[in-house]
Amino acid sequence: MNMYGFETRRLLKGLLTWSAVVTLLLVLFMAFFPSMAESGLADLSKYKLDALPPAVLEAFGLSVTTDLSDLLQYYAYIAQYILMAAAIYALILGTSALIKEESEGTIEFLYARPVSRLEITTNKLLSIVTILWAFNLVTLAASVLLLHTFRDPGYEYLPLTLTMFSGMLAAQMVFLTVGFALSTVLSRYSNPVTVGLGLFFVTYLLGAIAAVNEQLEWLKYLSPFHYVQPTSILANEVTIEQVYLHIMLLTTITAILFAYWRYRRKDLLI
Amino acid sequence: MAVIQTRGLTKYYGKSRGIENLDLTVEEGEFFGFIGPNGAGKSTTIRTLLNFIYPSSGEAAIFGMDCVKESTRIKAVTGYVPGEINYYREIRVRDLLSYAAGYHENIDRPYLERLCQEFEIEVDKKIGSLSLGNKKKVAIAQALMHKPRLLILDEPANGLDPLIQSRLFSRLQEINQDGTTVFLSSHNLSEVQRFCHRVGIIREGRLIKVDQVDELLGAAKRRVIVKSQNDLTRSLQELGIKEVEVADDTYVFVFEGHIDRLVKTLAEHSIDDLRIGEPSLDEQFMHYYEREEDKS
Repeated sequence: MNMYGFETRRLLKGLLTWSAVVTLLLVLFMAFFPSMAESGLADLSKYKLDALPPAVLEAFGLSVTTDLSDLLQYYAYIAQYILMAAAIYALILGTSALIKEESEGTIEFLYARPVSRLEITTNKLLSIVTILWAFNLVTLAASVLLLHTFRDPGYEYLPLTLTMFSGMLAAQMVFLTVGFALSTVLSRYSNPVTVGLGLFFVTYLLGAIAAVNEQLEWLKYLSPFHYVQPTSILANEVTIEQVYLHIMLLTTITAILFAYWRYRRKDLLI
Repeated sequence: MAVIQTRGLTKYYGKSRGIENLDLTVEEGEFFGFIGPNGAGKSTTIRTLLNFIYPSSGEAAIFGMDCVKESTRIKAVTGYVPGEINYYREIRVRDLLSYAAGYHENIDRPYLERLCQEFEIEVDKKIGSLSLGNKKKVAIAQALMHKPRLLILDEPANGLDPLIQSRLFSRLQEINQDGTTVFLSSHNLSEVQRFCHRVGIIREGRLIKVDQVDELLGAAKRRVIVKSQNDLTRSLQELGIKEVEVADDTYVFVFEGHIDRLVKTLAEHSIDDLRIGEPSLDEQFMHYYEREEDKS
């Protein structure tokens, strides 16, 4: 408990910053909704969107059927940027978890305590999971509050919002744990933030390519972001596809196991 | 009982050498000095003992517990002062100490308070704002707070001002007398000379000598400067000193052997000035190095 509490507290400042920025973005974006909902503008935007090639629309998570004057569709469009931010945050949390202490040398303090590598791994993992979930709770609460504010009476939004969020959280867990596994193999000279950002944009780009090029469609399996894209969840009005769920679960578990296995025998070089 | 025991302990970092075939035994209650130039393998040895790194081959035990398999139990009874202090910069000293205390049962809080006072630790400051010396004091307090049975210090005097240094060493002697085994790595010979019972000398990853401090010093080389109106040439020759620089009644030479012989010989003359230099570490190591080479 001692280590878990300490580790979690150390991440609080980052959590506050990320939560504040993302909430602010949500508020800003959603503030445009009433003007978007005015039919004239909606038609105009639809007309403009129609003029774009479908491939481009898909790359931006839009489709010809996207109706930005609908509250949930508008929200889902914004949510993919929130997901982007969340995925990057998850990756940074994961990649920093172990390697940051090694590059700063602070890990020496922990290693001198009567705790095993196993306990260190567990506590670090638990604390980043806690922080990520707290971040999701904050953004979910902000989203629900905003949707509630802008909805027309009787407009139902909660079930689909929750589905979008659980999908987003699942993808973030993949990014978090893959980052965590990377954290056990990265050189202590590497910058976890750069690695996190790089990894996200590479996978995102692969997913984007898959969306516009049929021959390369299989690349979509390499982008967790595209598994759970809020606009597609909404468009299909279904939960996340089974195959994606399985991939995410498997990746998460494998990454965690790898991290435990690798960290158990790792040399501390400071 | 052997507190620290290593057999053929070897650590390679990839292809580069850390330590090779280290056989070291430190007995309970000893104040053991572990000495060698930078890069000799002092820190590697300590980090292997504490399982920060895994040995490439050989084995090590502390209090009979395996350094790899039972590291957690070892650390419950061991205190460690690192050479470079890299503690969490944004944390206040007070919080760091109570966090460290949280890893042990039954911490004697008044004792910890006394340690903080004795070493003049500024508990309300953040670690990041402290100088190296002040960080070191925090490291000393966290290493002593749980009254360890073994204390491992990696060049503890670095960065400490002379007053705190002397307090540290008198505290170390005190806890040593109370039964704590002290393992001190250093490249400062005089510090080892003053406090340690036995010394191990490590060079290029190999333990080249372990001996009583007195024995080592007895055989040490010293740089001597004597000013005298008398003619010392003959006496110095009798002492077996071959190379002597003489200028304006001043004799400069390197003396090898027990200091007692030198002092008694010089006492036969009228001496205006006498300076006996601390044998520099390099000289010391060259000394043992040459011997090693002679043997081989």
